[in-house]
Amino acid sequence: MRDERIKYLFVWPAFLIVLAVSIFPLIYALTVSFQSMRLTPPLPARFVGLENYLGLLASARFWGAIATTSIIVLISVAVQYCVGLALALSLHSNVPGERLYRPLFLFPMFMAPVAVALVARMIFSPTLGPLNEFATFLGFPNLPFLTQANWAIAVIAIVEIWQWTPLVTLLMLAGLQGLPREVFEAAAIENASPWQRFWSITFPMLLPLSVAVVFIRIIEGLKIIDTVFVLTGGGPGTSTETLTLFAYNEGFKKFNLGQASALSFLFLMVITLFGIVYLALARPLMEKRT
Amino acid sequence: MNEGRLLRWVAFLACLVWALFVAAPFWWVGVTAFKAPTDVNGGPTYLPWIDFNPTFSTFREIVAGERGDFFRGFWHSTAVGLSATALAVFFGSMAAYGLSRFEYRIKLAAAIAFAAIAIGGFILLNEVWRLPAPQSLSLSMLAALPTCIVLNRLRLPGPQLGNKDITFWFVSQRMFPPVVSAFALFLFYAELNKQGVRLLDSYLGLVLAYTAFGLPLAVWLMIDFFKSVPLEVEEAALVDDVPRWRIFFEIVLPMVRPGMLATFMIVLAFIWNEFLFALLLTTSRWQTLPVVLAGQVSSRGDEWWAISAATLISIVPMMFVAALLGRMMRSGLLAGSIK
Amino acid sequence: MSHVTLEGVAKSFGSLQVIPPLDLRIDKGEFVVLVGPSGCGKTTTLRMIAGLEQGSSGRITIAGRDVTDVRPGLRNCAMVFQNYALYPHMSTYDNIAYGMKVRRENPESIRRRVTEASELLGLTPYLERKPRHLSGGQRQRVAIGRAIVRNPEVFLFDEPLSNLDAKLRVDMRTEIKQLQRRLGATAIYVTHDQVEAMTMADRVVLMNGGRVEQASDPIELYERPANLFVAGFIGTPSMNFLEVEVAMASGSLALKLPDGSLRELPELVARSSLARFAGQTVIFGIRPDDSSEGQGGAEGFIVDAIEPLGPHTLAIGRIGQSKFTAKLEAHVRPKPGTQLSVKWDWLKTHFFDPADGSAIS
Repeated sequence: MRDERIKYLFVWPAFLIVLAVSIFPLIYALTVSFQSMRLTPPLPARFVGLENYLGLLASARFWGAIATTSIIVLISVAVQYCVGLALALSLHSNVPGERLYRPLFLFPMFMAPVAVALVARMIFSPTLGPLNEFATFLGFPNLPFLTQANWAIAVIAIVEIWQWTPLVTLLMLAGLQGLPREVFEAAAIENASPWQRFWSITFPMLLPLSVAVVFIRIIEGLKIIDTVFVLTGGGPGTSTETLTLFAYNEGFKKFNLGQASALSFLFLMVITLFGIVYLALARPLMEKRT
Repeated sequence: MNEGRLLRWVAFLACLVWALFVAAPFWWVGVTAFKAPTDVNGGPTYLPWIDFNPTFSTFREIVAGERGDFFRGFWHSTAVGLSATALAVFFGSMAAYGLSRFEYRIKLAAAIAFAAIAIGGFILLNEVWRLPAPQSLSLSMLAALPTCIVLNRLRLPGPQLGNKDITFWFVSQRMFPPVVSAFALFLFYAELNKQGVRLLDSYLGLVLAYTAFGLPLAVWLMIDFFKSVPLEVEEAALVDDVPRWRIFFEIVLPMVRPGMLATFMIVLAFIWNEFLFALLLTTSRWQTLPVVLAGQVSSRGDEWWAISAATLISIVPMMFVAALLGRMMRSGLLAGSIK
Repeated sequence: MSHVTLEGVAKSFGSLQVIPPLDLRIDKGEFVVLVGPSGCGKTTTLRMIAGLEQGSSGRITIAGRDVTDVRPGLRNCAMVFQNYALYPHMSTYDNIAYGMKVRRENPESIRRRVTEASELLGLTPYLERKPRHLSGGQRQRVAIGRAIVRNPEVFLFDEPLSNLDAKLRVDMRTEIKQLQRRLGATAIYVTHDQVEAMTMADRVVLMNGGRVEQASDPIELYERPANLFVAGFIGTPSMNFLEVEVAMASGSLALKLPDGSLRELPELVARSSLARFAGQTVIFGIRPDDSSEGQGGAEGFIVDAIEPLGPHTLAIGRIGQSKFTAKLEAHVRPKPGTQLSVKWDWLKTHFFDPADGSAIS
């Protein structure tokens, strides 16, 4: 059939672009990760085997970055999911003002994370920011929002929650709208309380979607750099440095390209490993109802 | 019934609180952008005309070009964003159409052979024969691709990869930590720069990178839109001897136009807001808005009035996009596609 | 000479064979209806003729040309789909003209043919409308118009009326049939509705499980079903089947009915081939339309429910363990549980071999 030949024309352009821009350089970076390559001082590249990888695995900074990234992601995704689902349920049940809320609740995810972080930086500013003034007004001491490690991580998590809860709301709302109405009507006839209805019908039916949404948010969350870059720059010290920021600092501040490449591949392995484990754990949940 | 009403009240209050939480930062930038420097330095104020006197001076400075870097960033983001999004959505739609209509089979053995020849060939050429990286890569790819195609035609044992795997391959590009590909791309562009091909800090380089960045998203979204188009219409055209490419452009694309528009806006938003690629691939000439904005912190320190005005300008286009998407969604257009 | 032929055409998906090798010959100008329960392979057969589906083996010819490996567009078929398959963004005019435009036909002749077709189908006032502003019947006419202007060798219809409401369906049925006669075209029409099949077809091809059970003109199909499946599928309410024993009583053939009664067979019915089954069980078939209250048939008909239909009333019940339906006078209203005697027209009885279901003639 003629389609047998033409069908390849449809995927080739996209395939070649991804190949050229993502896979080509990836192979190059993979070889670089086994070399010692520095731009300053510009020494010739030299094969060092696994040295870059082993060096990273032995460094506290690497594990610190993993810990920081994980904490930010775990806290923010947990809150995003709970709040996002609650908001979706409220919007779905047409709370008063729903027409107004809908666009407003969407806006944050369309803002550049850099811009969001800039605004957060002003709001959380220790001297001129509104939040600290408010804290002072209530009688608290001036809070070190961005200069003390735990506070800074909390602030980053809050910014993440502010920005990405909308995505959860959006997807869960779409899921809610796709649920068959008859089931709810049947439950209403059975005189099930709203609480029972949620736990016995809505939540189980949304479980597969929930698993997917949480997965997407965790994967996206692990990549975080812009917010941290602007808010704290990884500081104080390296206490809020995330994996991506660590890789950037290594490669662009120290121009240690071999190390940075190795780091990004370790990062890739972490994400892949996480993905495999997560999907394996979630499979029974996804299959039960589909 | 009582419990239900109580719940409605709780939901209403929760939404109100969240709305305030969401709106507060917008209010803050909106207000700060119209403040004079003295008003900012005097501590936080919130209400225009009561707390402080709003002024357009910052916006005037921006329009007058006194903050040139920012103005250029806006133009760069627009040019790069629109071109890359258009390319990504166009090629993404083609791939998505192919994947939703035809059956593709790639033998696992051929795919492994591809990876082996590409990586092995590159190491061989680059390390042993000391060819520069871009040349060795291109050569090894040039060798690997036809080999893979020929191998795929042969009767090889082993499992086959189908459409699902190919779709997953596309989408997984999006799951990659971008720092991996951004880094790799930076190294690669840098190598090319040495040979006089200017991709680093250039329009072309950025558009290329962002097209690849937006493609997985476009493929993923468009597949669902194409699947919702009834096959019969295309079959009617097939029986009428309409060539496949005309079916695609003249029949299917007009049918998925709303979906394509939505995809365009979502991809545009992602590219417009993207930071890491822009940070790594640009230095001075082609910086995009997020990079310029991030730079404001170090270059302008506490000039909040300027930062706010810049932030405001950079988020306004995306607010339009969000509002438009929200309207499309309410009309139920995207409900089916998101699942 | 046959206009469309299928020789040993088979279709399988992987190891699953949906259509075993199938032979079919269709004459020029013939209106053939493929009918059968859902999943019987009728639509797949039609799509293989159109070229939208590739057969696993066999040969298809249209107008003497082997088209087995020819792509759909070059087979010179026109197809009308179940959901009309109109191009939603094009007006009625463009929908009809699009194929010709793609083939770069002369603009003047395109206009002429669209005008002709739209006059024929009463579409002239709607030429500028988009499909979503047309009613179901109008959309179907546009789809037919698109098929007509191709001037094809064969018209293929894939359940074209199933989305229309009942009244419109009856009108369109006649309309399509008249149109086909007028154009003298060969038509292959797929439906699951036996009434549509019986009323429209010159020849009905009844399919089941990918096989042709019987291909003949509608009356023959009704009066002389080739097997149990055909007998049960054609006719509403469907034929009653009783397991009966063929016995020899005083030198002539008799039937032992499930209610225990023994009936001697009239001379005309006691055909020689039934004699072969003497002493064995066969399946006896009689249509409800041909059985009514009275003496001469079974005595133990127990009524379970009645369905008054106006001109007559159907009594649904059983004889022995077998379900049975009989046609009663309009005003007869037996209570559930009543036992009646039924009679039937012995000339309209059917007998089937229980081993393979084939008719005993």
